[in-house]
Amino acid sequence: MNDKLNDIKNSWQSIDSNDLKKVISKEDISKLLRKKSKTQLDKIKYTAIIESCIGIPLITLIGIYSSKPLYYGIIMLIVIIIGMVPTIRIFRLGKFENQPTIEYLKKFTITLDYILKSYLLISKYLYSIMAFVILPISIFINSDSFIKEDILIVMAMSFFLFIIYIPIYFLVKLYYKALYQKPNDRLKIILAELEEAENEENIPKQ
Amino acid sequence: MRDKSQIVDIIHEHRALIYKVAMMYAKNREEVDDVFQEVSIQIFKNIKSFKENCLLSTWIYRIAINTSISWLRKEKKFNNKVEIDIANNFSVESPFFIEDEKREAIAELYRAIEHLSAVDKTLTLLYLDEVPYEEIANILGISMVNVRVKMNRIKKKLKKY
Repeated sequence: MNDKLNDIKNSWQSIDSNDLKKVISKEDISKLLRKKSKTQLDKIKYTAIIESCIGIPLITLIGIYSSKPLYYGIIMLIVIIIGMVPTIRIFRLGKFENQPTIEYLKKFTITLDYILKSYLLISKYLYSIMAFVILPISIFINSDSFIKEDILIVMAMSFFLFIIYIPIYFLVKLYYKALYQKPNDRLKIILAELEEAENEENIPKQ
Repeated sequence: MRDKSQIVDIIHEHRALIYKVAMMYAKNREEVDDVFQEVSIQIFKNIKSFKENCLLSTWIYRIAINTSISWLRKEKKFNNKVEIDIANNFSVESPFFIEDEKREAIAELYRAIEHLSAVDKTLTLLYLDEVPYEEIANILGISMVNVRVKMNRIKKKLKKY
């Protein structure tokens, strides 16, 4: 067996850059560096950037065309900040890429867990807060006088938001799970294996 | 502080190492090339954090292994049949020309590592490249004793195939 393993080892070690099928010049590497990265981490970063690129102009437009731009501006700023806080952590993960694998995987999985939990929490409560707090306040602030119709409008719109909230929540949940949970589960398996190996040392010998 | 041409030189110098890491995790040539590109980008992005307290090759192994592990996400779409084909057609999928006399040994290695977990594959790769246990421990972040224990188990596993 050892001879066989040594044989494999020797064959493996004898393979070097001269054996590469594709000649990779320094120019080729320079070109590669200009391409877009496709790691899971970068995919999440790009998704966050795209979400912001769609969300911020939309929110700005709502603010501009509303009768109370300052009021809407503040509300929307709060919404953006709440939405962006968990994502900031993703941008800090890049600096752990050169850490030992176990440290890197710990940081990666903890961050993805935190982001997933935060977004699920936000999507769970943000719609409810918007339907039952922000919307009624907005309507009352924008109406010239407090009349019976306003209450009916608030009730109708809150009911409408509540109806559409349930399918939207499930769709959002599916989206975030596909984006964060699936890659995280696979990385957790690798991390668990490394941690198991590390913990074996702590078991006292009988 | 290194400029871009120096970083390109580093990647160029270590291209065989990066391809060997990629070969361990990727299933076909296209994926191997993708992993090579990703690792190159990550080296470029992270090089300023490289400190001279470890070997450059150790640092590149870390980047290459971490990137490959987090890059892998298409495993499930491959069924066992395809995996067997890959093992048999390794010389087609490999980024390297494998001489006839080495072919059987490398084919054997491919068949064996198909059954290993990502961690075991990593250890096998580092063992085959004769990276000292101390460096392996440094790359993975586990103790040297555990590297030794794990390596002995992997050798036993490899024996079965």
